[in-house]
Amino acid sequence: MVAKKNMSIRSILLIAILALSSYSFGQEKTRPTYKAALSFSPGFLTENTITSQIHGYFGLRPMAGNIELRGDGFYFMGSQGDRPRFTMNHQVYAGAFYRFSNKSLQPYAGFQPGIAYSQSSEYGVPDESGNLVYKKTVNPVGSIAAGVDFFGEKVFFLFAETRYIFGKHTSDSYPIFLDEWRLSFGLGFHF
Amino acid sequence: MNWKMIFLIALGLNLQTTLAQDEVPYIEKGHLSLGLRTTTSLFGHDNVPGLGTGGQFRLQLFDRLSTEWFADWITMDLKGAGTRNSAHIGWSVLFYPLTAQKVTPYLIAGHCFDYNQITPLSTAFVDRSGEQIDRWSSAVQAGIGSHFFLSERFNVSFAAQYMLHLGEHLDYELQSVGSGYFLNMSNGGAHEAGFEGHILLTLSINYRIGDLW
Repeated sequence: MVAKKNMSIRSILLIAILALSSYSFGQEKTRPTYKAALSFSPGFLTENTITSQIHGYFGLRPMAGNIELRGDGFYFMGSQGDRPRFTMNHQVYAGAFYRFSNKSLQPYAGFQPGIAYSQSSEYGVPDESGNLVYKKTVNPVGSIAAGVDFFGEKVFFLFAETRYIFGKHTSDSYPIFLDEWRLSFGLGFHF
Repeated sequence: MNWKMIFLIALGLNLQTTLAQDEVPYIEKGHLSLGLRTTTSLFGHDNVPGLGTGGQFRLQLFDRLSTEWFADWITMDLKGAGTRNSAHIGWSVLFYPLTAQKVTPYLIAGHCFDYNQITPLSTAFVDRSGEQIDRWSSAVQAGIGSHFFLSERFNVSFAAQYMLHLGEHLDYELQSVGSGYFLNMSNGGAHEAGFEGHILLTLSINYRIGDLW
């Protein structure tokens, strides 16, 4: 009877140790303070139009907590489709992301206000000599983004992200929506 | 008996941790935070919504009183008939009637300098750039808001304020014509005495970077 009881206690202890060790292994933390990444980023506008950008960012995750502060830049490469709209649409953002995990696979979501330096390719205004001038202007934009980081190596990581951008290009001629849905898939390093 | 002791100790530690987490000082005098904000302007001169981007820093003077120093750049599409651009640079005082918690409401009031520029629509055939008008003026704003702390140092804040512009306002009129609108600048940008106001909804993200005293 006593031997049976000891056996069951041992079994429980063994299971507890195994469970604890597997929990600890699963909880191995990947928590970089600094991150930088680069990506190609296609964007989708209405009227069958696709844009392409180079997307880079720098992230900072200060001390405790699950918040990452991040600054992003999009360099506009061009667009094609039924209505390209812009000859220039560079954008910079700064904001914060909440990270849902500290494991190697880290989903995140956040919000970033930003500005777009944009120029219409459609609506120009004639100058004194009659040539159409397309004014470049700075316009406020906002962006809601979500994605996932995969920390596979000690220094490098992969990320995939999607974001919705909202805003409006205003100038001296007709306004144009800056609303766009973008994807990014790239490589970064952390330390 | 031993198991009971261990259980009680574990319970005690857990309770202590929970209590310690509840006492996280979200807001204290001396806190300095930096933030970024996006602003929507509603129910203004032209009843057209505007979108803005800006930044701010907050300096906590006392446990229940803070200051916010901000700058915004707001653009409005005047129903396709032109553009109104606004810049706000100012400061506000935040008063916390309740003890700081994860959700901390506040009253906010302040003053700002603002710049407004109205540009009527030009096309490839009609150039109205010479009719552009602008002015600097002053404004006061007041409203309510709330911080939502996601961590000890980081919060998301939302505020609704009414901004009242003081002094002369820009005189132009957005007129409905046929199927669209026309921006009538017939007074040549003359300034007309009177008050003009609008609502500002501001969503900001803020991170505490220091504790100065």
